[in-house]
Amino acid sequence: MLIPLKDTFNALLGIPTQTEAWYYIIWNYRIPKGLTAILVGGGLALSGLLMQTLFRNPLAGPFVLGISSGASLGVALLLMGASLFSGLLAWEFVNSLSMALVASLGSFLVLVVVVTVASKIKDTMALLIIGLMFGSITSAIVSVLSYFSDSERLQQFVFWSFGSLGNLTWQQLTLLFLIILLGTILSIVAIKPLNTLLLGEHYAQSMGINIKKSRYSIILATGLLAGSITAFAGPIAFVGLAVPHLARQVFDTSNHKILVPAVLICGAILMLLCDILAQLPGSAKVLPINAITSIFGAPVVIWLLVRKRKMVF
Amino acid sequence: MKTDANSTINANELSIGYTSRKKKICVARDIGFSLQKGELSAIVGSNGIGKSTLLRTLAKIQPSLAGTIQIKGKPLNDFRDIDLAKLISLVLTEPIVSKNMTVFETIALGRQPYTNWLGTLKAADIVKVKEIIEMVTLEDITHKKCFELSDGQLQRVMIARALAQDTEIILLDEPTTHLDLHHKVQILKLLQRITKETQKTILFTSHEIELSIQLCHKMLVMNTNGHSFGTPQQLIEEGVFDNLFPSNMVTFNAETRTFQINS
Repeated sequence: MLIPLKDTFNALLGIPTQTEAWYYIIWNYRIPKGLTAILVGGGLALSGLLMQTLFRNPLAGPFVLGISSGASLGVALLLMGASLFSGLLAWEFVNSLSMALVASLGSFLVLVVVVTVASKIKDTMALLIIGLMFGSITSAIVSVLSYFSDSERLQQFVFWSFGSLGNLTWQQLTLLFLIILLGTILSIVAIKPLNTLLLGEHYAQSMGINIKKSRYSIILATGLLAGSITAFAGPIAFVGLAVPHLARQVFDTSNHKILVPAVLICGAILMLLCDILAQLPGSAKVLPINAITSIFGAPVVIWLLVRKRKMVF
Repeated sequence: MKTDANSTINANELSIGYTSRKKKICVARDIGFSLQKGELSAIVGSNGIGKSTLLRTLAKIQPSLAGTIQIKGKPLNDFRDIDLAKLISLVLTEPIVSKNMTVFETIALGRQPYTNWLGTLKAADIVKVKEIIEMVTLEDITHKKCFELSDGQLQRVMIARALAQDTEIILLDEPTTHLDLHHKVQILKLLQRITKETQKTILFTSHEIELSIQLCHKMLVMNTNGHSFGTPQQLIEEGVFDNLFPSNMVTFNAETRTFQINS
């Protein structure tokens, strides 16, 4: 729907627009969607930065820990499992809220397992592989479920997995904001340990950093950020991986005191740009946001790699 | 064991190794030595004898299996991590994770035990870092990134970072590996100068036995049939170096203080 710029500004300032519907569209669809894009982009980018430093791996992202997989598994079980066991699960209220709930449950379940494993296994590389295994298990279960489920449910799951920024109500948006705020605060507190980890875990320990405590709070922050975003907006690829690299290139530093705010801003801007592209200006069609972030993001990473020869980390 | 005011590290009947599940794997046992202020000491011995394990145990990265380690007369395990960080600094063999930091940033990270929760450098910290850059003569490369440096330069930066931590003890794990003779000597001379100028205790592991004999105050020679500790001269007189390696390959010449290949 095309709303004239003048009416858009009027609506923003609380002045009635030519059509009452326009006012409603702007305040209940477009503003929440823009804010969602900002929260999702910034949050995913921050969780990617935390993962890359914690795992000493330039290719780490929020997906690597298996947190998004956990969310996908939750949604898959709700959508397709419910139809399988329809006799047992008589309730039929598959809406966006219940989907967000099971996605959060799924991601936090994986997070609890990861944190438990992290306390037993000191090697961060092993933790990385465990995260990848969660991804495999999830996709295996999703395949089995989709094989048995009806086409309507399967379609619903596929739509969720496309990612979407536009389905949040003001209440959901407030909840998402609070969770991301908490994750950001945890990240800010972890700036000093994160910088020390740039030398390595043994060096960090020798400089008086409590490695165990820092690892827990960084993992918790990632879980909150990536888990809540996947729950509300679906799995959105690439942003978490690419934005930290983009920020390192633009600001030419690895200092987290600069990088933490930088990835929040860069992630938000990138997500807004992707959303504008997804809207196909002048058309009523909306493309899946996940496809846009991948199509425009992946070449950027390749370009960065080629230009710098190797990814400076 | 007696401890006097100048003694910094004391190890007594120390056993080192790894604990996995319920099994203890002992790498070396019955190690004893005492290091003083202003002394440069080396741990030498063949590969796999436990030099690095010993260094990591002294740094509290891994626990000892038996025996005692005292830092300035107090058991190592009684120190909180943050207090130990102000007493012992490390230079390790593992490469640093991010080489995207500048030389200045890397050295300044050494100030972490003294900075606030955000790691903000105060004016005094910057003065300290600049002093150290001058001491290790890194002025020309201060603003270079670590990935632009040669191995020798990077090693000096890591030593400078340890110095910035301002500790009485510096432990270095094979600081001269991958370096040519000129740079090996440069690093070891630097360590010798630091001990002289700052009265720090410096302990490093090394395969450079001949250089260590020339430069160190004390040496710990680790061998399968027992470990010897003393001044290089004492150790030579005791004939410790003679059976360090299988004698059909190399022999130690006490006269020239060098190893010679048997023809």
